[in-house]
Amino acid sequence: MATPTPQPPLRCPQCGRPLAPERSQGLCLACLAGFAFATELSASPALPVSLGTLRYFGDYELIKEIARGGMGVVYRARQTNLGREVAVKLLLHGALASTQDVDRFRAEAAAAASLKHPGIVAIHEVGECDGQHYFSMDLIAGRDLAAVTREGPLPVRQAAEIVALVAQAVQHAHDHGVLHRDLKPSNILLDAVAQPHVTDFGLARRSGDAASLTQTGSLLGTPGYMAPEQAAGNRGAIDARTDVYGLGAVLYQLLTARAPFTGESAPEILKQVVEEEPIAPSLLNRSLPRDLETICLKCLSQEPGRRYASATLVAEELGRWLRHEPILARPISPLGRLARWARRKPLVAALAAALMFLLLASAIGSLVFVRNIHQAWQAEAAQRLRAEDRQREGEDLINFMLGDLADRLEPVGRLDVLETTIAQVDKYYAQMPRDQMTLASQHSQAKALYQFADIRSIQGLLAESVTNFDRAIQQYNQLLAANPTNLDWQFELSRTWNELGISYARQADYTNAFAALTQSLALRERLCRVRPTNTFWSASYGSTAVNLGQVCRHLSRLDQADEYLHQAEAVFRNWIAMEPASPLPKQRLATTLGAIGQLASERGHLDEAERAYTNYVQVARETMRANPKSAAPISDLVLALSYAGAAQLNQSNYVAAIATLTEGIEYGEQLVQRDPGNREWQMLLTTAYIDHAESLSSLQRPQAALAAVQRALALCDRQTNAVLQSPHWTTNWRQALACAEAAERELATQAATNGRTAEAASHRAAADQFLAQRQALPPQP
Amino acid sequence: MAETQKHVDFPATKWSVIIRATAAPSPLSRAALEELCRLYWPPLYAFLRRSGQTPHAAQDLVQGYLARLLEREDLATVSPTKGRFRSYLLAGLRNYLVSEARQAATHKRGGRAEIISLDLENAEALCPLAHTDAITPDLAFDRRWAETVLEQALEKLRLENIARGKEQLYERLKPQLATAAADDYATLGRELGMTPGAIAVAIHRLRVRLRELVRAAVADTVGSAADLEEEMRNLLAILSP
Repeated sequence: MATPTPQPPLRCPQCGRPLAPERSQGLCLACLAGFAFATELSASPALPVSLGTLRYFGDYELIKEIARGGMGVVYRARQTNLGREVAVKLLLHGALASTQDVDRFRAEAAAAASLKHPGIVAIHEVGECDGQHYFSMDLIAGRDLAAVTREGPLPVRQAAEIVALVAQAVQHAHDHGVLHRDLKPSNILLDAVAQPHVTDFGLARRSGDAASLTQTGSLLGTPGYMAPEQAAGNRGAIDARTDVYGLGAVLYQLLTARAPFTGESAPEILKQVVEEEPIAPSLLNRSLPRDLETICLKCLSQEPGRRYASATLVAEELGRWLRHEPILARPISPLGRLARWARRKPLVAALAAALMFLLLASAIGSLVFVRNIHQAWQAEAAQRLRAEDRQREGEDLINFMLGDLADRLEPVGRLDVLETTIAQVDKYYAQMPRDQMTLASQHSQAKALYQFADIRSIQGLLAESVTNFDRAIQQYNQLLAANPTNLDWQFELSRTWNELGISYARQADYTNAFAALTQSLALRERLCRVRPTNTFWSASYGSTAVNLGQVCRHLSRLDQADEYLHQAEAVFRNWIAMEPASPLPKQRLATTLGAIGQLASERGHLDEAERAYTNYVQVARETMRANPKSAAPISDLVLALSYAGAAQLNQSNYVAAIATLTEGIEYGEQLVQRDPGNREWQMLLTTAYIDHAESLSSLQRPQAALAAVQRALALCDRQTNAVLQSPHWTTNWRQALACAEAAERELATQAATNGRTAEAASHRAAADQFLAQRQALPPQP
Repeated sequence: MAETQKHVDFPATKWSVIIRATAAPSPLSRAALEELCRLYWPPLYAFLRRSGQTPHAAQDLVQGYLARLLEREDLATVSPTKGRFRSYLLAGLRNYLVSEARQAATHKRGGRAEIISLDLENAEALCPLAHTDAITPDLAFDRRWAETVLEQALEKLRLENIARGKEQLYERLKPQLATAAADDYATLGRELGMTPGAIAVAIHRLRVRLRELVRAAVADTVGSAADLEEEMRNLLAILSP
């Protein structure tokens, strides 16, 4: 299977963003928006001086744009009267909304300009020219830390050295009464000898209030580095410790290559900043020493009182770590974490409410159990339990969440509740120091990762599901390294490999799918040998074999596919013999037979295909009869009949095909009546009608064929009048139109032969119309 | 009547027409919905592709989702007082994915629907994604949305200029819309027989008109003046490098 190779994207020579010139008249949309809207917020003079037309600016000749952020644009510039190169930052119009803002900006810029320190980018001049606020500063040749960490985390010692130097620079500013307020990697430049220089001192964020930040959206950049007191809009609480938080945020990024908090929107990140602890950096970077993590997380404490009291203390602490001396900070105990977790996230309340709703609604489970948990957690919150009890209580609750709760939430569609719950569990374990993790807690974490990945897979977020299945696999491997004989863990690992394989296959990454499924199958084979009587395990072996068979088909390994599918068939037949009353093994067998039939017809083994399909129909019909009220067995049967009918049609066995497809159509119409919105069923029914019409045409029954195809066209029409044709439906539509055209032409010939000229002409006209409709469809890929 | 008065401060946009018609859909509201769905097809597709769906599956899912939306005019959950079409659509798509997954649960466990072959085809031309950019599905959705709005506004600008017989001038000035290269105005002016000042004014007018067209397109997808301002800020932030 040829995966389309992505073309290297064209990039805009001005801003470097990818271009799609065929859609945008050759222009870069980012630049277009930048220049078209740059003036929008200004006072709109008749012919505004926009950034777009600037080349000379006061004393400066602007040479090249070197950076662009929420507040403005930075240019490399030549200061003409002094003949030196500097950096000039032009603030965007609207960055300073009121005259009050302007005054404050000027006052603080003046203070910042007084700072002289090798670790601080010196400000030369602050001013205004043609209503445009700007400041000029040293030009540092190098990259900022955000750019540096885009390539991955820094070596831990280098990270610590850089942040220690930045902390000294920040302390210098604090000594002169200037707070930075917006320390983040993009505000720190590394020069040619890798020395850090802090820029934008006191200038970056006009106000710490979150309302203004939400108003201007992400124009102010990501809030993932902002201290909680800023995020909460608590302007009075901003002091030196706000910058200590910023130092922690920078260290975090250097160690993990990501911000302490990330999310999809500014408000969402802000909410996290205020309510949550960042993910422990050691989880993102396994090589991270624990003491360095402790320093980082102490800087990032929610409450300013728990952080280092000053930047210089951070510098000293990092110095101790660099000299291999003991550090002063102590890691947060699991007890402390659990208490904080409970305090900040009133999970108990939310969980208990969700449970109450569920248990009442579904009338299952024990309310007493829920109340017990609730009481236990209240007790915990009141800090009456001892630490070990608390950890065990927490783990009991977590196991309940991952087991019973998950099983009950998923069928009622409360994936949202489940997702939040599991994310909390994951975070809980992520923050637990590794030496506190018992095997039981590691196992719970593995299960949580698996569940989370499974939810992502259900949500169709396949890339993210792959990442989390991978994490779960790593965790299971660690568990099994400690206890290699635990068969349940081995089975869970095999399940994780299987689901990972499915996630890859759904992304059409069949090579990785094959690798993952092979792992799963090998494990399952071993398990079946150890416990041959465990029917569930052997059934699972069968499922993985079917999946492998399908993946091999896509990889054109047809013999191998055949082998896996027949293995699965044997497994499921065996299972049916052991549990003849259960519908599940029959469903699995039906699926497998369908796959065998499809493979056989792809290989041109038409007899074998027909045999497999006949078996398939038979098993599907039995299952349907055993369970006549449920829709799924009916849809299985329709699928079976439509495959069998198509195979018969391929073999020119038209009479048999008509009988098979008539039955398929009958059940298919039942399904579509049941749920007119179900597109899968409509697709099944349409295909059956088209094949039915083709069989009738082949038997020279154009009138009947036309009737069948008209129903197919009506079904297609409901799909194709919508926005854009999907490939499956376009194929159906094209086939139906071709079939209708052929039927009309046949009718025209018959009429002409019998001398009914007028009738022949009208059939010809109808045929031409179908042809025109078909030609108007998008070309076949 | 009271219903329309509530909205009197904000012009009738496609979105406001739709949300007012949630109780009783009309041909007008249906046409509006269909047009908006067309605008949002590329961002929804980008979201799914970035989530890891294959081109084929992504097309089918977007199509299925929008078709259902149009068929059922499934807007009962929309609150007329707040909200933007963008957020509504993305949330709806997420729910749709889950309901689809549930329908196909047997497929996941054993491979039923797998029997319907899901071969890849070269459909990426619809929405080429720079695979090197490690961005989240939501960001892909936002970017594609912002780009689509701007692309469509730019296309309208071009058609307006053609209609006014100014196609040539437009084509000559167009590259200037997205650059700061003002030093060419004199050369350009000589070629077009215009003063550099007149060139600057013409470019300025094109930019102003483009802004109006973008605002109008965004206004169609929100229900209030405040939402419009917020959405404009979002759009610019997403587009800014």
